[in-house]
Amino acid sequence: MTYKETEFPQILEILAEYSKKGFPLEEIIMNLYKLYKDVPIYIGIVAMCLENLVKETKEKDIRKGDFIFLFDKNFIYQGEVKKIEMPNIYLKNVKVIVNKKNLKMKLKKQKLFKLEKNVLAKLWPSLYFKK
Amino acid sequence: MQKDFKKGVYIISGPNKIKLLSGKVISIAKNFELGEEIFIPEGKRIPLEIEVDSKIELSDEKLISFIQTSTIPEDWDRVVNYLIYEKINALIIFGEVDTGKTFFSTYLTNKLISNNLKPSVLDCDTGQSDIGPPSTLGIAIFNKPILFMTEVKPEKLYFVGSHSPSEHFLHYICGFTKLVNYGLKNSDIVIIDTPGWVLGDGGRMLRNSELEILSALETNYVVVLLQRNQEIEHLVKSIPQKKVIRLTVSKKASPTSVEERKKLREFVYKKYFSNIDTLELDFDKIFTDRVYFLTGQRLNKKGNLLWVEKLSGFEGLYVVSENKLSDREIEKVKKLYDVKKVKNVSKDEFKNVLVALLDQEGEFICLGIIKDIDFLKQKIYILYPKKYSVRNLKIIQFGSLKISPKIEESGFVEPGLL
Repeated sequence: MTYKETEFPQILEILAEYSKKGFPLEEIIMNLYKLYKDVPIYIGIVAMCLENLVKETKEKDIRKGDFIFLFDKNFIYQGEVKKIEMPNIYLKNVKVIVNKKNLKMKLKKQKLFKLEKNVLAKLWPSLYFKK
Repeated sequence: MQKDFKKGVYIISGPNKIKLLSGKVISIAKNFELGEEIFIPEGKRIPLEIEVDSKIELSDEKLISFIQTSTIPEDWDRVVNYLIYEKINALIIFGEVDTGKTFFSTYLTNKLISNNLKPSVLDCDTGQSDIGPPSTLGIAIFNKPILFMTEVKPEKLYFVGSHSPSEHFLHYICGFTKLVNYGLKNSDIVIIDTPGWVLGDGGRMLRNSELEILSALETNYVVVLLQRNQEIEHLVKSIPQKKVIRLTVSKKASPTSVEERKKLREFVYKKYFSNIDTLELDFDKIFTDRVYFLTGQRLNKKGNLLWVEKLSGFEGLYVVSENKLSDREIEKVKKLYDVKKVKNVSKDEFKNVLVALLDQEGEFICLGIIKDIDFLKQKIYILYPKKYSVRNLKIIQFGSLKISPKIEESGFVEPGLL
């Protein structure tokens, strides 16, 4: 059997595409979650909506209340448009992601997490096949 | 009003009432009797083939259009002889949406009846059901010609739970098997009218599974492909080609928009639930199906919880509360009952859920809508069409659609939630 019994995997592919393009995924995932809760039995339609969730837009088409992603040279900004006074826009609930090739940081007992390497091999070794 | 019709083919749209006063008229292989009254429902259309100049009484003259040639493609007629000669006992129709699968089923039914056979039609289109309400598979057995599948009383129905087999594959396939089997035992040939989902993983898998079941049931089946070009050839690549009949799509077939489909479904639901009553059922006297609710071991409720059940093994605790519990409250419940997992449902999630009411044998009685659940009194209140006797009701089978008290589609329930 090679056909998929659910269209859920398609959603992972679309999320991976957004991530590859550099989009911070948090807001996209919350929108996806809402879409799924709205039409939980039509996963194909959820996936179709997800693909069309983020659209490139022009400055003149930005409205108050829009949620935007802005790609600058070294920063990615995301937030909700609070006010527009061209050429300035004011955002609220802003998150800024800084792109840096390298970074030196001082560790001083912050909350720290790390991604597990080979989590499949650790949790379910019989399903782990060396490539 | 009365109208004279010249020899030719006309399409009459509903709502319309027609009566043949003189002449000779055939529609979908059914001969009209003089004086016979036919009602064409809203959203439906029929072709009238006027054999000789005829006089017809009709309620709305504006809903007539003339077309040049017959709506029945020439190759359709040859199918009937083949079915009889080859002793075919199951015929499955594949085609994209709006390729006239139901129209072909009706035509074939009438032709087979005129050849003294007793056909049954299994309507698998859960979105645009003609036999039975939407979200069900329905089978009917025919002794006399018909114009609309909606005219007949279903012999048996099976609740799929949704307008689409999507996320309901297994229920769809169970219902398909059950009703094909019934048709094989009770008619000469089962005509299977399938949904228009023929592409992609889901479409391929469903159509492929249907063929495997027909084979497993040892039927002498054929597949009819209704296609405009070669758009569904992929569905029959691996089966013996003598089992495949390729037919032309009728000129009558025309697209129906998603909105129109929704309107038609709601129209059918409104008709189905037009005269309703409320059923009051004790938790102790019924069983639930396709949900976790009422399948575990009941526990005393603590705090402000409305209902608590212990499910088997890793499934944990099933908890109904007025509102969805916060993460903190869930942690408290885990400690209180000493469990690792809590499945929490808010009371309102049950409201307006479309259900099937079944008897002890699991046979469909009618559809119902959950009006309310009183967890204190341990009672379920269900709206149901009064005309059905629910004396033998034993099982409530849950679906994944919500229908509002105004009988309009009002959302979904996430599978596995309740």
